[in-house]
Amino acid sequence: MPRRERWGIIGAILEEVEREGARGAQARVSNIALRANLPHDRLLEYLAELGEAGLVTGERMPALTERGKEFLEEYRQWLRVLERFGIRPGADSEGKPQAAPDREAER
Amino acid sequence: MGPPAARRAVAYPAVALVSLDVAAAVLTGLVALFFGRTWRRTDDSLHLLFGVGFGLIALSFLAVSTSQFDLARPGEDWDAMRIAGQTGGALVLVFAYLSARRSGTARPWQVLGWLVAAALALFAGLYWAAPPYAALPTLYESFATAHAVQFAAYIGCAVMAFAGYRAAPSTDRALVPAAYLAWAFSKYTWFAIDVTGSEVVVPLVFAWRFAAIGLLLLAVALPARRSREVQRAAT
Repeated sequence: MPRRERWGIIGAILEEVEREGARGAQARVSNIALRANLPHDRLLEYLAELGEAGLVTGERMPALTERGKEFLEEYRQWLRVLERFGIRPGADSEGKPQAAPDREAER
Repeated sequence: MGPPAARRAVAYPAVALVSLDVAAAVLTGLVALFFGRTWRRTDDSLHLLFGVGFGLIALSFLAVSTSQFDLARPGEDWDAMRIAGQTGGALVLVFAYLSARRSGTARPWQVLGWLVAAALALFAGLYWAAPPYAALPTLYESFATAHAVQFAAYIGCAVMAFAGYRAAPSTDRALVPAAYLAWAFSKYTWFAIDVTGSEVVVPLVFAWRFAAIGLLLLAVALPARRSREVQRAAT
């Protein structure tokens, strides 16, 4: 599977945590994994890392901290500017489009 | 081909030209700074390459201004650095865009971008290191070719940046392609000056240049809008 840029993955996870949280319920890891296009085990590793950085709380039912919300706002601003320049995250280091997640590996 | 365009441009008030070049350098430097900051956060070498490209362009604007002063070095040397920096910066941006495409291989284009940047650093270093009385190539004969290359490079950047607009058309995504087009027109105007020897249109070069820089800064400074889904949920 081609590699996605790390910063793009982190941004996608935080966006999904926020989206899930905005629905009024706590975010479910399986939903985030599905929508952020990540295998379950890798998502848990990222969530642990984001928790250590103080951006999310709770690994199983994650929610954004205040710091996480600020980071996400800043991330959106970068992303929007980069999109204006025609640069998008998610292109792998070889410039190929992202492959669909390996759902078999998750089971 | 008439006398070198850069020398002819001195017919305009030097203070005005220096002020415009310094302003262009500072404003382009802000775009470079944005990419530098983004690189520090993302650790993505592509963002650094964009920063280096814009940085080279900004520095070369300063080289034009420097050529207006007596700095124990002939103005021709600064002109050579200016033309090399402008061409190199434009090529670095093209290679950065080529490496950011969704199809094809990224690495060779990034390597080419870094090679151009390194070659430019070496070139500028040699000009700096050479004693003032050394007879260095002035590059005047290459000005028209260099401006044609820059024109082609900015057209290429405009086409590749337009991919962002094509993916999701919106006014703010049209800013950067329009900026590259304006920059391409400024280079085409220089090319016309090189070929025809007419300096009447020099102000047009600055008009296109500042239009380009203004659009780029607008693209960097405009705030991002939140996605509709998140907005709906938040209200």
